Amino acid sequence: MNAQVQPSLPDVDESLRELIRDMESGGAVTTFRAVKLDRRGFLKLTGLAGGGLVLGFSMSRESEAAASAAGGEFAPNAFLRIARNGSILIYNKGPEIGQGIKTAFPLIIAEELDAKWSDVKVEQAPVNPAVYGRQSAGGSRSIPDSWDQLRRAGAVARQMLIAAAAAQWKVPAAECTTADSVVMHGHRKAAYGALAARAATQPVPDAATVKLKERKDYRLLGKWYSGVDNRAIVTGQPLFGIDQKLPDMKYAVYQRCPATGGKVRSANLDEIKRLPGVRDAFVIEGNGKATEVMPGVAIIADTTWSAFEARKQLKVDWDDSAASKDSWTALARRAAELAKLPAGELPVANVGSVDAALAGSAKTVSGLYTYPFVAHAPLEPQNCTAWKHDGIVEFWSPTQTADRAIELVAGALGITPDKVKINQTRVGGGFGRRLMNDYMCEAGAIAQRIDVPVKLTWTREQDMAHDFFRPGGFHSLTGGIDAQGKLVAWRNHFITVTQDGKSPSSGAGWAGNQFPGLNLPNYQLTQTLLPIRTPTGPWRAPGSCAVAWVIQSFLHEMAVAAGRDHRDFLLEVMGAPRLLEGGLNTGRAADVIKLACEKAGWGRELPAGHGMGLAFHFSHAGHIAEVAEVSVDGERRVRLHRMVVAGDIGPIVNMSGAMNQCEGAVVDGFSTMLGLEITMENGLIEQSNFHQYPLLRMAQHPRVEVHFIQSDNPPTGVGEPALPPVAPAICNAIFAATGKRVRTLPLTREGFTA
Amino acid sequence: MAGNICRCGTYQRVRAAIHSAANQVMKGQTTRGKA
Repeated sequence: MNAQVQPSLPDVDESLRELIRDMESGGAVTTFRAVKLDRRGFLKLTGLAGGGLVLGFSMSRESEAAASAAGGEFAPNAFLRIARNGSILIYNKGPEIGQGIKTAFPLIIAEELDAKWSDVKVEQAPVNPAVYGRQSAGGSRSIPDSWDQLRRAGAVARQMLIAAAAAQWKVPAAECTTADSVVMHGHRKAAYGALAARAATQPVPDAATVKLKERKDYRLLGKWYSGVDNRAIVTGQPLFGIDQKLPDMKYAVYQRCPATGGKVRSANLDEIKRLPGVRDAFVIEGNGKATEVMPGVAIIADTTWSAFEARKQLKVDWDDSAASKDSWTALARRAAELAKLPAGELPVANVGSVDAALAGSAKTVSGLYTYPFVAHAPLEPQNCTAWKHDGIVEFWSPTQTADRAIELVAGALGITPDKVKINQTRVGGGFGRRLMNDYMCEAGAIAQRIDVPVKLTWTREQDMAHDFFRPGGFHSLTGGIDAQGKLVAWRNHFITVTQDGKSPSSGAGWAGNQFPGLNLPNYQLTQTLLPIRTPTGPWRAPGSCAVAWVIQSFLHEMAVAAGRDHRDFLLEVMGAPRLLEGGLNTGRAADVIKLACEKAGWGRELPAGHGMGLAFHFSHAGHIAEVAEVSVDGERRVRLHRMVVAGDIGPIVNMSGAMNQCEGAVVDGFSTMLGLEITMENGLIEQSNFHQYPLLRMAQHPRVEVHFIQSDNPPTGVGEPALPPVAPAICNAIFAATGKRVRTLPLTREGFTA
Repeated sequence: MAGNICRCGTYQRVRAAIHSAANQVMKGQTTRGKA
């Protein structure tokens, strides 16, 4: 196509695509990425930890644990420390973004340690991927990527405690058992605290071969636990990035060009510097990367208030000649024209012969599905504290990717990674927004200009204007049914967005092996790319969060056209139990579909104006089916009465956390499909705050019921996979209630309201 | 609570907590309830 030639940000988008690939890697398989630590690594860690904090060793054969046993403590690795008095300190290595990992990770360690949960205190670990391995939260990968590493960290410690007790009692270690932080043999008992000093002198067993528990022997996992920070949160303790306070700290704002890609020609800096409380104001050229530092004006002041007030007086003459001119209405108009073409210019997947199968079908159905851009809108706006001191730059950052941030920030600041130190704060909502660390790079750039700590805080409006949005998209579909009512052909022309003109923008692609690509005899997926400049990125279940709605809605359209029960039709398409490339296990899928329907009472009589809708989606290694019950009144007011979620994500770590993620995903998915959209004209984002981006409120929240099939399959995270089925289940229920097929989101575009 | 936004969607639990607290107050199980 004759794409308008625009300067693009291909390198930026490539890094985001790589991030998504990383997050989605191993969709079906858990990989063990424990990092062994040598003496140099140990010194590096303790150096980083500073302040006399002795963490101990990572999982190493080297029997150096004694070195860390000062004061009779037992610190077999970097994850835990047992004091003489029996208190157990466990370090949570991953970013806590509200998904509950600060509770879940320590539970996994405590389970294999056979610790009493009330003995455990949790602290956030230093950021040091050389010691801890992955320190990111994204792609629902925290649990699967760290499951083995954390279990082995606990099991190593347990084995050393047993060895200590066995040596003390002169009995074989194999005859000793453990429970509730106690080693036992016959009538003898020794508490872990009493064994700590002796355990520290035991040889460290090989983490790779240490014995792990079987699921049936779990004492802690799968039960209901409150979050370890809950009390601190409800009593308003300063846990979050935005709460950080350091002595002599100053406060900064940073004004970027409202349209992506604009540069500063000039600004009224002298005037700004004379304003009350303002310390400095200056232009930052930046490196032009949306994921690092875009051009803008920084203001440093004594208080956040002074900085925000000064920003209101800021006048910048922007050179927006090369800035984004993106227009949602123009995109949608162009897509509607392109949708008339049966196929796009880029083939993605082709199975069988779709054209022949459609020609031979007893019935065909066609439709154009459209979904908008959406924002992450975390309640804690982007912020970061940075302090240049003693030859390093130190950060206090609410980031989802603490590990990746080290090199990224170093590169943006032109320093080496060893000069970057990151402290992980709690994160007031991620949803994928904080996989990017642009606000960290900005804070680092501002901190270069001042010798005291400085906290950069974005306003809500800046947060909404400078997001990496979930990209909008358009799917032109045709499906065919044979004389027996079987789905035999599926053709999808996916019109999506691109930054580089060659491949979909971050979060805007769709793989050919996604359902139902490998389930049908004839399947074709093609793409057409429309160029944009607006940054896009991963949004809770990237790709799936939008495309699952298209697929599961259209599948229901086909079931209706075939005159078949949706449940039976979906199970037929799923087919015999088998593992497909990409990780979808059709047997596990069928099981959760049946469970969701059973719990919801699929097929039962409903009151007038009510309807029930079903959807299934596999993403992030999670198999999830959902059944929605909605009612629609004469004014097209939609009410979601109940959502039944049935999931198979392997064994559950914290039942409260897992259910909470599903409950939250239902609210987020409903909120988004009901009334949220980001539009842009002339490169400017049209929504600025929650009055134009109406997140769901308490009065509209549905009753959510969650059921898990627990299995010995590798565990996966559940931050994301419960979200994609929400919108199609609701739209299918709306069809059941009203006969109206929703093909455009949000629902408000189709005349529905809450 | 109608004016509050919970971005993580914990409304169901917030609501349950309100009911739980209200019941405790009714039964005089809290300091305020006893006063």
